[in-house]
Amino acid sequence: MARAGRRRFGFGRSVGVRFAAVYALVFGLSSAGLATFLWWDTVGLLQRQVESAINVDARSLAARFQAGGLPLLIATINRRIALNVDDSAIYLVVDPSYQPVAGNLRGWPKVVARLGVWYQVPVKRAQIVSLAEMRGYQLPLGFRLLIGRDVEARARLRALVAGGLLWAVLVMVVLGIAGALAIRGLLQRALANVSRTANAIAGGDLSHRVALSGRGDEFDLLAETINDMLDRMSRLMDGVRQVSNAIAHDLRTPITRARARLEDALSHAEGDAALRAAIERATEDLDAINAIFQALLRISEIEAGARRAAFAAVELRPLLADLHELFTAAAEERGLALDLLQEDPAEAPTLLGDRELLQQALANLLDNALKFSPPGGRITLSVRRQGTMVEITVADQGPGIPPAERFRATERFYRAESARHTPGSGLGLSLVQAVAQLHGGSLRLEDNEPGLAATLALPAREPRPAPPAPLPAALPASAA
Amino acid sequence: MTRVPLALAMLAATLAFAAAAGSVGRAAGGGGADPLAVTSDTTHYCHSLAAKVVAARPPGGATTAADALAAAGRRLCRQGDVLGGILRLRHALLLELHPADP
Amino acid sequence: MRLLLVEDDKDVAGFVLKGLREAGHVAEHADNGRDGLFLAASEPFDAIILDRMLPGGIDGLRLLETLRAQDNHTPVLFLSALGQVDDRVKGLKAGGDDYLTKPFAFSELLARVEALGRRGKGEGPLTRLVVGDLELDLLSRAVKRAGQKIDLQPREFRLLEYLMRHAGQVVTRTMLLEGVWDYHFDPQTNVIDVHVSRLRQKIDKPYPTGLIHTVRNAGYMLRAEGS
Repeated sequence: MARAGRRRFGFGRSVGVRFAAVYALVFGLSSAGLATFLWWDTVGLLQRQVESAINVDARSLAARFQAGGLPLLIATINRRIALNVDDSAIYLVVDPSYQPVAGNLRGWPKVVARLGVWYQVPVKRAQIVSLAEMRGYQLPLGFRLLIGRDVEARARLRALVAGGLLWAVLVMVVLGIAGALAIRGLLQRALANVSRTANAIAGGDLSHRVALSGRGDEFDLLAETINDMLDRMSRLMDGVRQVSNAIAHDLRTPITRARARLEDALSHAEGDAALRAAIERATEDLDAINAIFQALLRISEIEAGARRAAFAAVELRPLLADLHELFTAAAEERGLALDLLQEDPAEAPTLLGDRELLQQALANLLDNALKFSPPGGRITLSVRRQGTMVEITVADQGPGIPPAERFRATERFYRAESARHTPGSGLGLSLVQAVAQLHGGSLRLEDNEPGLAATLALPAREPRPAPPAPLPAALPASAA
Repeated sequence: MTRVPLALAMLAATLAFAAAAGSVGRAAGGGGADPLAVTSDTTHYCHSLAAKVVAARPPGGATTAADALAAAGRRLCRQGDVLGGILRLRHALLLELHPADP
Repeated sequence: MRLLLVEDDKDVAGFVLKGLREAGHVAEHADNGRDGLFLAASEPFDAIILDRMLPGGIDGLRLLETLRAQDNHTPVLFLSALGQVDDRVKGLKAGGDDYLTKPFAFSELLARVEALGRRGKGEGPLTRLVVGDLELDLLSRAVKRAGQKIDLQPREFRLLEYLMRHAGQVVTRTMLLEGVWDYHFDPQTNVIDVHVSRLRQKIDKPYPTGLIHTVRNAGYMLRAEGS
């Protein structure tokens, strides 16, 4: 609970808030950029046009003054005013004492204190106050020239644009916040889902799974991946639980037996011989426990897959012949026949694998077959190619394994009902299965009618390239 | 809870932008003294402009368009629509001085 | 034989030392790698029993590597609680001659150590093995007892050869499985016993005295009467 609370909302630590802030920032910056560009392109452009027109005007008037003195300047100005169709030009020429000499402004505005600087001055036109952009220029003999343009229209446009942009920015802010909140909400919803599951798992409920939205988006993909992982984890946990239960149960029996024997000998044994016998039996029990541990360790070692690094080419034919030879004597001793069938002895299947493990796996299968065969039974060890696989089958005529139990037969410590009273640890087939999987193959248990047919299917090594065809007789000669 | 500072920041940015836009419009607004009057929009100027149109009339013959505009200008000035009159007179003058490009 | 045991577990060491001395061997003991190395390097031994995991900075592998680097070729048997195949391979690669996983039966340890100690004393390649009236010719692959030729299967021949090379010593079932069949696991079935009893049928049955003896709780021994 406390942990969940602490995690709930560290403000700056919330990914949702961070994403939202980044989104708002990016959105805001692009909006500001757009507004700036709009402003520069409309209002700014007009301003620059006015200023350049005034500058051009000023240069040409100065040239007139140079050419024809004051009278020509005055005439030019009057003519420009007279022809000023859009009625926006303002001119004024004053003498050194600021008395107007020519132009259409009543007097020199006080605001325009310095020459060569832009001013925005309110002027009255036909009783209406409007705004003019103007600049003063120095003329020879102490005369001064003021040129201006009425920019009232431009000012109105500017106000309009500014107002529009203001609204636009307001809308963008609202949209930005809304978008940021939406992103945050979406993220939090998606993550809360995962987080809820993780909390449930951490709390011990392994059955919980991340809910899918069904949209097939990235979050669904993540959820599926997490669910797959959880499935695998719970399978592994089940396996571990099952194995530890089995270990607890299957080891307790021989340990209890050894303990009882020793205790009984301690209190009841009469004479050295009885004591010795009891200790000997107890030692055998301990050896059996040790064998179970060895087998378990070996299976985990195989399942860990580390031995794959030591894989080498294994010729199957001599391997099977040796095993056959080793077990035949023991089989005959029990009145059983052990046959080795190789479909095509000429084509010896070769595997890439671990010779020792393959020997052990097959020995386990043969051990089982010998153990469960009725007297007079026949055991066959056969090998055949099946496409890319090599199949090695050990078939007996024993009680077999009921179909319903076959899938459990490779679990650690599995003992068939019929095998309850046969010695064994129930780890043999687990090891065979582990070896098969290490080699990228599988173990198949089938009905031999009667009996069990255990087939170890292993991928054959890629067939060796065909031997090169005999060279034409002429070739060696020409080479020489 | 989380949205308050975010919203505040956005609002502040907006206000700053608005203030900037407004201040540009009002910058260098002049010193509060009475605005100076422009003299080229008075009845007096209208009459002087009408005289100029007559003086600029080419000796060859009258351009009927300029004459009509000038007459309309004079009439508007008389009726008190000084700006309209001046506009027409200026067009008339333009037509007389630059007949090629009206 | 003069033997050195390097083992830090006092109980195991005591048990092994006692057993070795009872079997008539002289056994020295070191309970850490440093002392073990010092002893092994300074005194001649017929074989060394070496624990893989030792305190004192020098573990079994390091000790063995140092020893072999000094050109000391005393046979070494590794003892280890690490039963994995990788560990066995590593131990043998480092120069070990045999490997036994804990827990072990003392009889197994004794048999293997005696086999190791004797192995160091071979005088060149043998061509003939003789035990009592039993002869085995390694070149012609012929076996004779009391001058009579005995026909053996190839595997039976190798089994007999192994037993004869270790004549007078206990040979365990695991040693036979490793030495004759090159298998490094224990089948649950009594396969070895069956093979030995078949060999016995041919070697011992027709003659008044048996050469192949069963040693209870340990294995087999090939021994001529009176030797």
